[in-house]
Amino acid sequence: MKRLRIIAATYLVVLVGAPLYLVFHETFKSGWSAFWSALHEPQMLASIKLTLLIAVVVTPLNALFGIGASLAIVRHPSRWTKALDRLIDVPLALSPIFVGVMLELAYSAAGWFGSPLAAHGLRIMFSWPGIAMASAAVSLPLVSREIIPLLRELGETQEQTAATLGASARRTFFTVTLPAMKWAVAYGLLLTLARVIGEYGAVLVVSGNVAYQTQTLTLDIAENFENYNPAQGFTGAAMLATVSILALIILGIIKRRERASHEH
Amino acid sequence: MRRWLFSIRKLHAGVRRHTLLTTYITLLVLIPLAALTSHAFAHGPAGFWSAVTQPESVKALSITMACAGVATLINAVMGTVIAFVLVRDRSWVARFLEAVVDVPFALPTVVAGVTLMTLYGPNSPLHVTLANAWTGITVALLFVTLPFTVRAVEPVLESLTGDAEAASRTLGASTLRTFSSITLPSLLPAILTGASLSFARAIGEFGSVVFISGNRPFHTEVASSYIFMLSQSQNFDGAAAVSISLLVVALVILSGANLISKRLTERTS
Amino acid sequence: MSIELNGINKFYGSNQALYDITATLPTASLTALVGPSGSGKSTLLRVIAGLESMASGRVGIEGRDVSAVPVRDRNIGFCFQDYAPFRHMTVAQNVAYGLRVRKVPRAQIHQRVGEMLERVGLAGFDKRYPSELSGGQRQRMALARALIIEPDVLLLDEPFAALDAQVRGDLRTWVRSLQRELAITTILVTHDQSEAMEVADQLVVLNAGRIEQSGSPSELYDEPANEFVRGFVGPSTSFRGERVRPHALQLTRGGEGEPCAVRDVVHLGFEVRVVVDTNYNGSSWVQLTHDEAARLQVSIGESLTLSLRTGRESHSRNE
Repeated sequence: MKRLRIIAATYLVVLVGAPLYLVFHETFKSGWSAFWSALHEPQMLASIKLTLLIAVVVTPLNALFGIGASLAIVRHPSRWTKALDRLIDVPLALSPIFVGVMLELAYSAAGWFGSPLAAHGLRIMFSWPGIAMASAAVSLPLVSREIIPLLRELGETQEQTAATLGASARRTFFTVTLPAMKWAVAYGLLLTLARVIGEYGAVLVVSGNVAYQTQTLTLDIAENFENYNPAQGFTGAAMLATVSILALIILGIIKRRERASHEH
Repeated sequence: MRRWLFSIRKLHAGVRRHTLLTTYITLLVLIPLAALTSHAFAHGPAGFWSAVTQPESVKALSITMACAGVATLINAVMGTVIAFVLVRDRSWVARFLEAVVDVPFALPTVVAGVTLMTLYGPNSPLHVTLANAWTGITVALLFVTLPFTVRAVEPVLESLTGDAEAASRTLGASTLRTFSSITLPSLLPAILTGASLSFARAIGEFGSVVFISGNRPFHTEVASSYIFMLSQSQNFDGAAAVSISLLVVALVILSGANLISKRLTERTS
Repeated sequence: MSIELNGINKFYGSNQALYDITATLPTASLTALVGPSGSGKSTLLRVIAGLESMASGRVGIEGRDVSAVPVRDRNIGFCFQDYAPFRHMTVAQNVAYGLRVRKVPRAQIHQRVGEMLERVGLAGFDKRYPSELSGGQRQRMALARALIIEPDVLLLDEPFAALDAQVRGDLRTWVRSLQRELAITTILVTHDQSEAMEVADQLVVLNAGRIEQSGSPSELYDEPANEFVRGFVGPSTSFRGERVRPHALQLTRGGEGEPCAVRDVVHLGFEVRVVVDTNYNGSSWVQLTHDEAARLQVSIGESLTLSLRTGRESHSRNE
């Protein structure tokens, strides 16, 4: 066991610990004032604003979809919901580049719906709605994959009891179903948020990567590296790393809460 | 015929009941997938085949598969070791490792990409240069696929009570023999599942690989970079064709592993 | 007549789960639906509650045809086998749920919940969560939650199955006395015939989706309509080619009857089982009381005479 412990620890420190350390080391190696001014670099601020906008739009939409789809799949099984169940997981097997390219082929000016959309003055690709669609597509299954097993495990008896007590379907959902799955929803929401904020490949394809307009934080980081401006790039990278570590910590807390509520 | 019509009608009823859900997934997945497929086969199966068998495409696909394969194998072994330590070791080391394992899931790929590039690039602080080589690609893939096997094996390992292992040891078997003849067979389905998920993720990986690989065609250009390059140069049919072939490989691997691990589980339970 | 079931048929896909179920359950009675697993007893209960649809037939509650009435408007109390506690609500919130749905004023809810918790023996548990209750307490909470809306009928699906033997016995007696006290029409589903005989006024025996027989426990026991019912509601053995209850047989030294040899004697406390071999039809077994066995001083290998006890019609006509 002792030998195994050393092997495992060494592997993880080299593979994960070293990069993680490097991100923060590089960010702060020129001192706090350099970090402070890098934080206020206007192009990065613009990209952060766009990233937050996308997150604010996509996360609730995907959460609603995930909850609705899970309920349909578990509580109203039919041929259609079986197909839905399979389809939701498809983005997990796809490369982010694949997702970006397929959206581009459907909605860009050269794509299937490009000219009808353009005729109505709608521009989806290479503007924020396209970025939102790409982010939504790659994070599509994250909420439902948390809820579906929980709904199956909960069973229907609580909901049916509420019905025998006179509760409407809506009331049953809000007073019985939703409270029972709140931790799973929170978990899925946070996963979605983290994925949307950190998505790179799919967004790269559909955004056009125009500074101050269609550049998200991940794209800004990459551009800084390509333009040999690593200090600025690492500032953005450190922010994203901090967000993801925070997300991990909160996810851990949620998991523990969920487990505790299960022991009820 | 009547039966068929009936089932179609039922399907329609189901779809109508979930109009919003249907619209959402149609816009995000179904239409784009259809558009991509139609582009891939715009010039028939022959066109698809010629796009996939372009020398640069073949090279990109084989580099991707090779690096993904090596990374998957290494992580299948290391992931099992780590899972073992996480489940059986109750020291603070294990608790610390537990927190670190999921970092690659949460860390944005672009952050991993630029960091690995800095760490193993030309000015490596460790004086190890792996950039612009298949080793660099493999290290990036090792990073992003790390949690898959660990998280697949961990619950199975937790569910093993240790009774069978104890019984084996009372019969005089060595630790190694006990592991290989008792523990490993019951872990195999989970290892396989984790490995197949790793491989599927690895062959599509972009953000963490693209910086360290250097993207040199025929040398260090992976499939996803190649697809991106094709789409940037407006060769949509080619991009679509290579995308589809990548998807097919992922699906074959995932369903094959699923099938085998189901068989293995049936046999051992 | 409180609950009337008329010609109920139910299908799952192409499998028929219930065949032409017709029965009448009197007001304020406790009826047990009994049968082996897969007999359709739970399905029938769920059809009565409105949790399952039916292909054809009619469900009447207190003279009201509820066949087309949705669950929430049927005014029934239903308890699931797992008690289905709302895990995120306290005991008081669980019990108050039906009243809150009915928009009963807050002060009145508080008072009625307090009374109900008192009645089911959970006074003082109002702020606990279901996870902090024992199985039996959870069961009481589920009953309180169902009863507080003053339902026309109380439907219990395997209410004691999840409890251990000791608690199960106590709760059975308690549920029985509560039902008498409230005079509420109650239907209980169970796979355990002894439980059904113990608590129910009336039994409905189901097998493979059909009613085999219904009647009081003693009717079913003494005059089973067929072999299935006889076998299901109690033990049986054979005497001269007929199925009879083992306690309908007696063993004597000499006298009229079938000569037999004692193969085994099993002491079960009050009851003693004697297994005998006869020339007629192989082995039978006889149920004796402890005293009878002591008086007879029966020992293995000995030859005795097997005959029907007189003075009581204990075996049914058999074809």
